[in-house]
Amino acid sequence: MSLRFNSQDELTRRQFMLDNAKRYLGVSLSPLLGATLATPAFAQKTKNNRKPAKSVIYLYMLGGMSHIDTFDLKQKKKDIQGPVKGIKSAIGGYELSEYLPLTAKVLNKATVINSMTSTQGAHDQGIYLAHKSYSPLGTISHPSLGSWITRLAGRENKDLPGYVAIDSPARYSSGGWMGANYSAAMVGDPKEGLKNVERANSVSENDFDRRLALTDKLNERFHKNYASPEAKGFKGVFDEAVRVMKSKDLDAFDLSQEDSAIHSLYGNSNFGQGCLLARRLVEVGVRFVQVTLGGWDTHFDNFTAVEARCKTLDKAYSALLTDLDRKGLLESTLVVLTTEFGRTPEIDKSYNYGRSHHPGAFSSVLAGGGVKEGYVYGESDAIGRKVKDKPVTFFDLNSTIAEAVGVNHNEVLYSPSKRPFKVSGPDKQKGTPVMDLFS
Amino acid sequence: MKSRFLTLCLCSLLPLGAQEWSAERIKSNALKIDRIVAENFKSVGIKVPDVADDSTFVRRAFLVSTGRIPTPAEALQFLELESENKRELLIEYLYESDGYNSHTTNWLMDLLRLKDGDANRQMSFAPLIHWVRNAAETNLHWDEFTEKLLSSRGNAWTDSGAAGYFSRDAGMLEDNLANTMRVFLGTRMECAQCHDDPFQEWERMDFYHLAAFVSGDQQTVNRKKNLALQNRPEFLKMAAKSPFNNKGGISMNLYFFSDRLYSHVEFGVPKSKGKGRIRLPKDYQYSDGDPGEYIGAKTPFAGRAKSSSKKDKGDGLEKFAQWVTAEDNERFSQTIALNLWERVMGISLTENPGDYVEPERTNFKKLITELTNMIAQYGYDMKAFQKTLMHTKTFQFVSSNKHLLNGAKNCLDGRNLKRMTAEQMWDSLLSLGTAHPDKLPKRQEPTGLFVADRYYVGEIDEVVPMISKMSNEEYKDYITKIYVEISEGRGPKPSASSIRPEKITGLARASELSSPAPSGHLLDVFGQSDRIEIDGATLEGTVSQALEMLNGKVQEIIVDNEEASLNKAINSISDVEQKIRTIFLVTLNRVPDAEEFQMCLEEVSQTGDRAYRNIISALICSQEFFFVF
Repeated sequence: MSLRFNSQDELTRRQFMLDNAKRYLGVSLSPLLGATLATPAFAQKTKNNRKPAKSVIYLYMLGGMSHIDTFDLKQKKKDIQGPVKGIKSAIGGYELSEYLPLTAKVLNKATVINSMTSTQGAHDQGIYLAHKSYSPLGTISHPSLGSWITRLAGRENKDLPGYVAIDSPARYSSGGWMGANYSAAMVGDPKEGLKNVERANSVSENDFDRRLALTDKLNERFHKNYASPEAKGFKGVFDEAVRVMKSKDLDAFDLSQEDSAIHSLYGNSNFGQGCLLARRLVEVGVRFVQVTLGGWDTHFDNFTAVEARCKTLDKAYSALLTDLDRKGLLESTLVVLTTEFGRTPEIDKSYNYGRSHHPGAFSSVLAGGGVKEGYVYGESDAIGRKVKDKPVTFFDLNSTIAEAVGVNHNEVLYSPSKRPFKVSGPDKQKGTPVMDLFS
Repeated sequence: MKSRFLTLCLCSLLPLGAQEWSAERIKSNALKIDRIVAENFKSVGIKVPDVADDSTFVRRAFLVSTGRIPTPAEALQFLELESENKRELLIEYLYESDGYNSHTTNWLMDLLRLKDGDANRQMSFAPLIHWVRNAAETNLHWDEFTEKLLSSRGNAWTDSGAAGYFSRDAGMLEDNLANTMRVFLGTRMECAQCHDDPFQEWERMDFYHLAAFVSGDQQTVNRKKNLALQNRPEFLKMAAKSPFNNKGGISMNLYFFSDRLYSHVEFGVPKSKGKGRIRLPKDYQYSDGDPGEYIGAKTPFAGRAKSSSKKDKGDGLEKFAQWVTAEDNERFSQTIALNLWERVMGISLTENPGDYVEPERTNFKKLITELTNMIAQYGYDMKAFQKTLMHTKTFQFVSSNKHLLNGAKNCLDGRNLKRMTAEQMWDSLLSLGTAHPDKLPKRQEPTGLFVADRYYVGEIDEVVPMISKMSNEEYKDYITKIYVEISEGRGPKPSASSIRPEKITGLARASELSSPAPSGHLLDVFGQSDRIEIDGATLEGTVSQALEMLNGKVQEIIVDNEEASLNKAINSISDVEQKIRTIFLVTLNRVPDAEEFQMCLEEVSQTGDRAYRNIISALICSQEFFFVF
């Protein structure tokens, strides 16, 4: 680098300085900062006077979980069911897939919905709809369910992010038009926790604080010359970052604090450890935690693939419900397990016994957060092709999640481009909470 | 004093020779703009604002035109230059630099939503991206740029990358059209895709009349050749013994292999030239047409173009492109003029420069009309137009946010303070961390066709035309043979000159990295567009950004990195005061004032050698660093 820094004195003489005139008076607290930190009054009212859930853990089965091989068995139809056997569950008379033995034992804590239905048979459209209550458009990006819930219900823990997504694709956990402040804080590997919350190795705490103090002084000077709402807002963002770093609850992101028995209860998979992290986060008041388990797109060799996925799911899911219950958190935490669509009743032999996409009927499971215990809602037909009774759309499911945390599923918020949106989706879809799911 | 920088400026002009617009013309146009702005000051009774000092100017000018802060050498040489017209010389230098190409590419990638590929469709957008990069480099004029995108035909790999414009949104022709209307004409019709828009004048019928121009199979070729393989058990069985399975995580039977190869062959290739008529959709709900009924093409404003509903004319694309870019389509000129104005001047003349408003309905009727005429007179030469803006005194005013703070009227008395974009942030860090940000590795257009980026099939310009000509049977034989050969390690081998579709990673300008940057990258954290939607980028602050600066990449590539150019410079100086001044010059392009200087000396006396890192970190995390003002 050919620098001619020796001429610095020349520069000094020239006094290249910014205009120090104090052009601006003090500025009131910026709207941006307000939006970042404001916690709307947390609605304490639900339709049937339940106590609203505080948090949501949203477990997403990416790729399309086969309903027929997991929660909605068709044992009477051998050609549909294939090799999967049913086993007794903790809901009297209700059989669950043999792939989910541990879940079967805790099913009395949950409500199974076997009448989910969607019209989106392609992955992206289906996943997008499940997470956002809208179909993807080239012209606007919609906020995710976690953004909606965090925005409508506000934050409980003021020092930690309100919405955390673990091992989940950014597209389905973005704040969309609500902006970056409502996007999930992303955790890739749950064992590593939230990125950059620790000081770089080389920096002592003393030096770190000195740096902050220097920055503050520089900012003060900058604000005198260039007052702006954005600049003030950034001050808030840095303060918040330091609060997160210094939060007594930051340990919630550190899985090493759990003993090995708990780790093995959840299983060593990313998903299992993600569920454990989710429990630790709701424990300290994070509003919405999303954990994704991929690999459900079982076109090819469905039964081997579903069995393998179920091993991971079964351990993690049963551990999560048991652990939340043991800690007294299940009542205040809604645990949602869902997917973009189910899979075809027909088994395609030419794809080594595969099943294809099937949005017509599939399953989701809710537990905790005031939902009925040991209940099965809705029904698919004899082969699991269509919904026979009490159809539930994603618009309904997402409205139900909003209802569970005590926020209005029909509250309209406007995008910056002034288009109206709701957590329950477009008006014409008439998304409605399924009140029968609540105890 | 003739500095090297000055020589650089002059040299950069010489080989171009073909400066289309004389400096006099550019300056006199700049003066026209300043006069209108001054009239405005007079009419609202405010003083002409101060002009920014050289430090502010050099930083601002670099960020606005090249997307990064100056390198230390560039900053110093400008500041030291004793010349009356040094700002003018700088402007010439900037608009002929590689930095301008990079910065313009980022903007176009956002506007056209250009991602490297589409995972669901296994499609690579490389040819379109390279066409756009080339357009930035050669300063392709905006009218030609637009016309080529909207009407090029052929295979995007072997004919023109512009032919990939419609393929970008394969399967979403209507979304593509709505975006086209927004990007090029500032007109929002996305609501009218599904219903009459209650807030705008557009009806659903208007939208379909427009869609008639582009109607036809614009986006994908007939995939029969490939689909013929889909349900043939003999091909699926091949998967079971194929070494592709589970090797490096890629599981590919013959069908998937073929699918990925075929996505190259099909990219671009509009089969139809635009039918000029379209059937109303099945859910058409208004009384002026029946579902399924054919309607002809018709434009909703600015000189009617139309075609009949009776038969496919096959000239829809051409007619549409001509109408969009026609001289009497004032929306076209105004949209690009106001977009570039906002980009250079940092303050918008209308609520959203991307939304067309009649000049009469704005506060700046005369100025908007002048700018709209000016860009047309420049023949849509974006470089000349942007240079003109930068030559104005208006560009040089000290920034102001008065109207944002207290609701005062926007009088153009200074640009608004804005956070750097994600790309400006990343590229500016490169100015501190590397010897020269514009000389880092750049993308190259691939010549080799690699399935799934790893299995070489042949050179693109040989394989693509060859497959296009094959019959279904020939294709089946070909694909089966090459699949088996590759799976057995006997496949074709690339020559030394064959260019792989290699991804640039690490320290390179944002325009060269994958698009969009991977999740968790500094660009992602700072709100780079997802390139799914037009306004995908965000300048909003988040906790993750602050954490990234305090503890993440900023520390890793600058503060803690002995090899960072800034640290090397500091280490080569022994004098304490000189070190402090250098840190200020490199990061903020100015010298510290007395108070700051004292503060830094105090830091040195307290923490010794650690002080310099503390000061560097504090300066980069300060708002003066990451705001454009």
